[in-house]
Amino acid sequence: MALEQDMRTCSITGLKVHKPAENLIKANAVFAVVCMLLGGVLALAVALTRWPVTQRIIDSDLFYRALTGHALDMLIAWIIFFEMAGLYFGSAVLLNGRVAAPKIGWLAFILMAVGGLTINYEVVMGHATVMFTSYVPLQASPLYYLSVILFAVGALIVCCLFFATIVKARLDGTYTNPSLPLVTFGLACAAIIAVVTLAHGAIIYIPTLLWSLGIIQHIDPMTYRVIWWALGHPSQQINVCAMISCWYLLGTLTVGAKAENQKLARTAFVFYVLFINVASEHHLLVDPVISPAHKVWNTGYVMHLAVLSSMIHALKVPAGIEKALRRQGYNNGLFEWLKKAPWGNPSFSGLMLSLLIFGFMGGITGVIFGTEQVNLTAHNTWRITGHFHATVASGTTLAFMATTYYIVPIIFQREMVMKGLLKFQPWLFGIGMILMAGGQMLAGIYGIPRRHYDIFTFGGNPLTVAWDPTAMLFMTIFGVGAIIAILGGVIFVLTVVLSIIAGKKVA
Amino acid sequence: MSISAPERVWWTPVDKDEKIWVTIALIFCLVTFFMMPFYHVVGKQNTSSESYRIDPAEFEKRTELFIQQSEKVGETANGLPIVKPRGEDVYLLARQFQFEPALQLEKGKTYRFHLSSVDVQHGMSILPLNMNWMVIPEYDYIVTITPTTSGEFPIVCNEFCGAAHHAMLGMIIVK
Amino acid sequence: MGSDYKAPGTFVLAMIFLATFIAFYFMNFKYLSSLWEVR
Repeated sequence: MALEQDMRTCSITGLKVHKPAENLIKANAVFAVVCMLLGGVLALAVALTRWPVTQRIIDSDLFYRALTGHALDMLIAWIIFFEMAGLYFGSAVLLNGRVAAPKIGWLAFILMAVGGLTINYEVVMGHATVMFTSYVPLQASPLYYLSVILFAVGALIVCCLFFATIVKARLDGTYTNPSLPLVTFGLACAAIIAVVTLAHGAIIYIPTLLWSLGIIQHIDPMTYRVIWWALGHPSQQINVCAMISCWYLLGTLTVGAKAENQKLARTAFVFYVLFINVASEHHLLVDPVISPAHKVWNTGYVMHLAVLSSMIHALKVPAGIEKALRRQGYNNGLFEWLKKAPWGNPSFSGLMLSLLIFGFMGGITGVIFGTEQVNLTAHNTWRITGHFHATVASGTTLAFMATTYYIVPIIFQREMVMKGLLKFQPWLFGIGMILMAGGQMLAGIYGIPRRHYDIFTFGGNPLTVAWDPTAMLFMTIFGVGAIIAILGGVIFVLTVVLSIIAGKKVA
Repeated sequence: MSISAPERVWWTPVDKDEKIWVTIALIFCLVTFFMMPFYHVVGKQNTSSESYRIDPAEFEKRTELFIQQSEKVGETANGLPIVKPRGEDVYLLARQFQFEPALQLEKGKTYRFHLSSVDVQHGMSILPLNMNWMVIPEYDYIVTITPTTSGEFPIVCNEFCGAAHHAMLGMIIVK
Repeated sequence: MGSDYKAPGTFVLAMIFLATFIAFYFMNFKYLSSLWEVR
């Protein structure tokens, strides 16, 4: 019989929380938010540089460093640290069990923290101005590649601990049901994709590190692209799986949604694992070498089955919410449930905004731009940047923010402060993002390029481009949206940090 | 609840509403898939993948040859030769930090563009149409293009290629 | 085991989503077809 001294019972959910698991969640969550803050500062620098009103506010060298750092801090550091916290929560806490090998969890955390800090250092110092994709033959410092590898190894270890913790829960008898809870199942799918993703990462970053050290003489640029995107795209699907797991979690926590008829939802998660892992060629649709037939197969048959999965969740998540609210009595007509829903709860409004923006703006554009022929009107333009700011920077981020508002009381055992202000936070961030990402997508149709410092004077090139004034209008809207969204992000970071330090203690 | 153990048996028949939605969604997914091969047959914008490995120095030589063999019709504001190809092959070389040569093409004529770079990866973006392709060193990427509108079409580089990436431009004129 | 409550509102929203998807999808192909020819 196990001792219960290292467990406490959560007064909000009734779940048993293992103290070492709790500490690991706290560390990863705090680092996630710190990285988001860093990424947000860099976002401001980048946005103000591209905004016509404040254009080129920093010089080009600084801009390209800031852009590289912004992508890494947001897409890698913030998102993955948060997902690590989520993995511990989904395995130890949701299964009322003990995390397996907490000391190894701490080792992994240190690897990720050291990796993340070194990545930032190298980028800030100008040793890695290669953008997030670091396309060969652009070359960064060996230390940069090494720190990415360290970070990835740490994350891989946590994924393994996640699986070990689930096994431990069964062996210890703390979880006996043959099937995992839906949220844990979704996270398990995310973790499986993560293992494959990180394996691809190792296959590409290790040779690239050796190349930067001069040990390997040459890396083929197309080979790099293909393998890098075998890391790059599935890493986004990890984010989708994690986000959707949060959607189900939030549905339950905010309105008591039940996960009924899980057959479809679980099948959809499995489809992600089977099909997204292979479907990375939508990043390579206007590349040489790969045949159109292969591009179509990869971006089409395979990817569109994963699209089906998203469409399934797109129905199941709001349906669960609607049913829960109808059960509570809001059963009039088609939409009384929506009108009377707890919009004042920032976790609820965050959830709904996440669904809306991810679905309408992110998902739709993703499938369309990933169409083999259409891609030539989108590749490397701001249409792409708008797309992924709608999916991961809005959808996933809002879902994670909404989840954080529960993690603070459940894990940190503090009430959120400034609840009046918090009501507006998801709206500020969400509406800001809609304007920002929308502005980017619309400007991108006119050909506004991504990763570009100066579309205004082209560095003084006598050749110039006369942009359609409508493109400039959309770029102006982009900037306004960016500022509003950053404000929303700042409120998130501020209130979370204040709550953890000084929030009213929860029993 | 999504956070608790599910029903003992959760592999249950699907709701009617869900069945309808999944069926419609599946049909839509299949339509969007089959649209791609379909457009290859009926559509006029389908990039092939004809490509050859090439040594950057060799590509530079061939581009030089192409420029010499073409009719020089002018110079751009930044000193690039504007050349009118005599045949159907067009060489467009990307380097840090320009696309060379500038081109004058005939509307309605079909050209085999040879795209490559002599240093790092670049992105060719023809504006304001907005048509985009990758330009990869060590690969001669053949894209067969038929300009169907006339005018001046600047080329912007949209793949980060170094410190002066934003100063990198090219030009295509179609008469 | 069906549930005792249905979700008609969500079904309508899902249809609106699908309509938006279809509209944007075909608008993009229309735009593509207006560009230079590529083989």
